[in-house]
Amino acid sequence: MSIEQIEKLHNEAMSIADDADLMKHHGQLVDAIELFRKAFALEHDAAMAALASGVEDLSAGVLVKSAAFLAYDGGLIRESEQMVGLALSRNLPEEIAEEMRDLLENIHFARHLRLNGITLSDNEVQIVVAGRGVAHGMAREDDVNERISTFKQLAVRTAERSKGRKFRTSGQPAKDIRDMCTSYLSTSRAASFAVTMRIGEKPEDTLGQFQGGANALIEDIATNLSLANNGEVEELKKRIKEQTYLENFVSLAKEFAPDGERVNLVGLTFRKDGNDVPVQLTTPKVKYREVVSTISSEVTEEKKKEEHIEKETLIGTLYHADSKSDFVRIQIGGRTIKISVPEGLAEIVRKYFDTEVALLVSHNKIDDSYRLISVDVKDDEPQLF
Amino acid sequence: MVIEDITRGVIPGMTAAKAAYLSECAVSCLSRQGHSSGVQITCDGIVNKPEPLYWTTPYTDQLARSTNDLQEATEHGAECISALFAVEHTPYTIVKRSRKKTGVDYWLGKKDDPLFQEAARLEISGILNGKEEIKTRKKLKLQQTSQSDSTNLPAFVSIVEFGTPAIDFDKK
Repeated sequence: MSIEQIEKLHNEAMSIADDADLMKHHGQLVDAIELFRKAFALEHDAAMAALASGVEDLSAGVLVKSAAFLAYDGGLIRESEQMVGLALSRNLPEEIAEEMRDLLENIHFARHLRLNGITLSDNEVQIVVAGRGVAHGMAREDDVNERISTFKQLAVRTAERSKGRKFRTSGQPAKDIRDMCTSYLSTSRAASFAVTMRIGEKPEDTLGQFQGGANALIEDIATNLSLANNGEVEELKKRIKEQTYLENFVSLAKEFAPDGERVNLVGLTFRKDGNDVPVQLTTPKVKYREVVSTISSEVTEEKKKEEHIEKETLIGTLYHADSKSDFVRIQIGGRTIKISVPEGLAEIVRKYFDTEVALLVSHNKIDDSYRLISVDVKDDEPQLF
Repeated sequence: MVIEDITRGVIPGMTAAKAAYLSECAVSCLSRQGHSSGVQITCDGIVNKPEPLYWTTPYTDQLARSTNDLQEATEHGAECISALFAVEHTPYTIVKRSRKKTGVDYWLGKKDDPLFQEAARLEISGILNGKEEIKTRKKLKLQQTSQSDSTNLPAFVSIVEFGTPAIDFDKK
């Protein structure tokens, strides 16, 4: 096959993939998958022809990589795995080889989300973490425990919101909420690292507006986490109407998300109508700054012009400024800046005290006041882009 | 630059429907930030003077609804502006596309480059609002380059911010 014929096949594959993207955007997922498979067939032929023609490794490698992603988008997991293997066997630039390794992790993760013989009750959720820092059945304690703790916080806040409670800014949750959200953990499993978490004593315990009990509460959390992962802010705002709860949820979702370095993927599996429902979270936590910033700007947008508010990033060491966490202090060299903390972020900001952080803040130029939008560990910053 | 020009075959193999969608995302992001056709886009990198940015697509409720996933709209809007910028203000053009995890991989080069042999990767990044993020993103991109070895691909970086609006288009 000539280079021109290979290019023609490749361009046809890209055109069909364009149509698939649009169908996916319009929610026509079944049709989109069919088109991704058609695009894969063409790109696969173009890639194989390029390999047979002896074109240089980069050109053939890019086509094989492209075919691997089209197969994955079309749900052809085995074909995608084969393309990844083929791509990695070539002499490729490191960035493309790295993309292929990441795709392979996605392929493996889809396998891990299957329950492999474990049966979940309606009030149970399987939490899986995977990535370069997670070996089969072994993970760094913080990478697992902090996410389990965050999931429990999400459950408590979701239950409080469902009961119409005013956002709690201090103290422990009320007894009824504590009872509802009592959590239990299974032993861990190798998959890459999985545990089952149970919420509440019994599946049928009612939890506020959640007629389906803990199962509906878990579904609500998983759905909202998925929306935050996809950056679907408008839909999230419809589901969590109260601003403080919304800010709190997105900040907790950021804590729950993969760090993009040690952990690339976090997954949940829960039961719905007798079926196991897998949810994959792959957006790294630093990318949540866009979502957090958009939500926060809802509060400050109207004031933006008259109060000359600008967003800034401050890098330094974070300290508490008062016992209620209404304010924090950041020390940048010899300079200290006091920053007000929105109610929804107070419980999140505490864990960053005495740590080098990158704070996204809104700066009011008129009265020189600062308000916190988002907090990240400073070392996480380079993984952002 | 005229945003709708992207529907006139600027990108090889791109369907008219997809090109129209990218242009709608760009219009939506600019309109959400309160800009109107004719706004000056600040340019940095290999071009250093502002350019007017025009469009005719009206920002309707329907357009707002169809682009309400802000993350997706920002990325696709940035793809549109970056492609137009490359074609109109640099010696390069988009010669190829391939697939990657987040959708489409763009490659810059000269029009007669066979396959991907002489092409340089175009890394596009979109910011809805936050001019202060542009420098950070660019710095990090350049840091990533310096950490890598000789097998790295030649690449250009295009960072589009819709709040100002601004574009920083540079070689890595």
